Amino acid sequence: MAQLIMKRTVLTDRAKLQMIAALLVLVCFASFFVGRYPVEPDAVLGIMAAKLFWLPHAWSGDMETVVMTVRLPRILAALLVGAALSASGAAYQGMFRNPMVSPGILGVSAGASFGAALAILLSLDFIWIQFAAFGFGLAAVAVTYLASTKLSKSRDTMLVLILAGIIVGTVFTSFVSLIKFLADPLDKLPTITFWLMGGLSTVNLSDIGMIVIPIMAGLIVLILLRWKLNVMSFGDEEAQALGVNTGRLRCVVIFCATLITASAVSVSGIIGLVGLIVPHLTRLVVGPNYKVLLPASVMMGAIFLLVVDNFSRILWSVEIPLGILTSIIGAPIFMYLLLTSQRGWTS
Amino acid sequence: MELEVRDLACGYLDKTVVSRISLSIATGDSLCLLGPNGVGKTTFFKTLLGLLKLKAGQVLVNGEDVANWSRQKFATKVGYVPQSHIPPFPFAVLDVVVMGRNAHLGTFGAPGKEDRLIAEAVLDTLEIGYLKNRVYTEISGGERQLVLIARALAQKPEFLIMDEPTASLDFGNQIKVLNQIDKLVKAEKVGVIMTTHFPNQAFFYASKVAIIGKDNTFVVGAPDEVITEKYLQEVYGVEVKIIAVEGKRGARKVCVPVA
Repeated sequence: MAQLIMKRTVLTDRAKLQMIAALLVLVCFASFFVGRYPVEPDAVLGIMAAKLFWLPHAWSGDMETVVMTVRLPRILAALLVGAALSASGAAYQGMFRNPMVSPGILGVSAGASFGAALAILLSLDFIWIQFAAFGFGLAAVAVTYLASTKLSKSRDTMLVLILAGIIVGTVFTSFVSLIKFLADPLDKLPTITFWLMGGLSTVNLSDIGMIVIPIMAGLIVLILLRWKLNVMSFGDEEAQALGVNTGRLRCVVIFCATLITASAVSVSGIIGLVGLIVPHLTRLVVGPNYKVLLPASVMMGAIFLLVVDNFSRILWSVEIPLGILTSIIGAPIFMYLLLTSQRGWTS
Repeated sequence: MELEVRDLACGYLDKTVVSRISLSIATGDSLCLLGPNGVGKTTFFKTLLGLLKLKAGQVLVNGEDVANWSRQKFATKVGYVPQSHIPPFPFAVLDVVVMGRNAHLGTFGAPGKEDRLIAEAVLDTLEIGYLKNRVYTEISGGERQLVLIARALAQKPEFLIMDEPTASLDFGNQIKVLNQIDKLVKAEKVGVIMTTHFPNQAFFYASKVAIIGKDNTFVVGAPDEVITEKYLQEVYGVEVKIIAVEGKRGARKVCVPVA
């Protein structure tokens, strides 16, 4: 009997992951024929299949251009950025034992955008935009974390961490403003401003080539280490007594989470609230065990950002920057979560 | 199997809190550590567990100095039962107990079916198998304490270090938790070191008692030798009488405040 019940819970976890994966595939496919230029589903399939096999061309050249050079990079970018932000949010939440943190709240996004804006100002190559975003993102989370450990003499470490993150974020945001102030108003300023709003409309396949390796590498390491995040969420001393080398694990997880956040930020700009909300929504669906939560968060993040990006493409004749839309959609969802999911939020 | 502490000094940075602590327990022993608030019982535990650097002395497991052991190796020998607190996420009880298996898993490892079976067996040993699918953050304080003991047992250690396992429990839960600990010591031959604020618990359950007093005094020995009216008066500054009461398992000593 006991065996039976256990089997069932294991199965449902797997079934939930399979359902989320199926949803992901469906949303990906549907995204190819969402847009102003009409492309039929069978044409999408044909164009895809034609890359692998020889097929009679039953579609126009325009359609192929739309699918392969306009929509494909954008869909890939939304998948990667959504997965990266959501996974790093989930990882930070476990690592800092705090369901309220995210790359945004810890100051990582602000640090990374300062790095990227600085690189744009200096007209550096894309690879340097990435490096700068990563370097300053890592610096931001390090300052936030060190400040909070020094300041949290009182027991309320959760609040102190959030406040430290807000302060670090504010400092980097004002550095970004300084860069905008210094930037050439005819050339660099519009580039930086538009990039900061957050969006995927200018992404091309070579950008994706640059971020796919760091994001996949970071995600793979996080997924391999995911179960240890459960142990870490009980605090350093307990985790150490359970046999975890907490110092090393924390460094690796923060490094990977920051790497994938910074890589995402370097192509998409600031896309708010994804790293905070998606892990929460996912926790409601699959529970808090990181063994399931982390892979589920990766997929849910990809789905969420892809769906929101599709809306940003089709809602109005002028495209709304994605970052604005995720914040407008995300804020009420977050308020709703705050009001309803009290479980495990205390202390 | 023996856990030995030799001339240990513990403290933070440049401040030594307690020093010259020497004691040893074998598997199947239980040692109660008594002492007033603030004398450094927790500091001693943290040092014993390797969470704080030791200032002097040695910790030995089966005669081997643990100074160069990895956390993982130490965790397979010595388990820790902290005072329960609420974690930030609502884990299922079984998931919490399975975390005890960490010491037996690799860096990228996650517990498998066998580990879940061990966790379930441990829950059954403690007679809390019914809790396994409950949410850890929603069960009672006494149940949480037992779950943490189960987690430490899933580690399959030879020794358990328990930090006030009965703190903040109601009267009934205190006795239940202590009886389970007693069973572990006698039936499973685990060696237990636990702190408590109640000399009576030491009389009932301990084979050895250690007292850290004010001004860094330290004694260790059999309960009857160490817990005396005079010594309790000295350490705690209250007047007590120790009397014998008939129990189911023969006469038991209890101490009662008289002034």
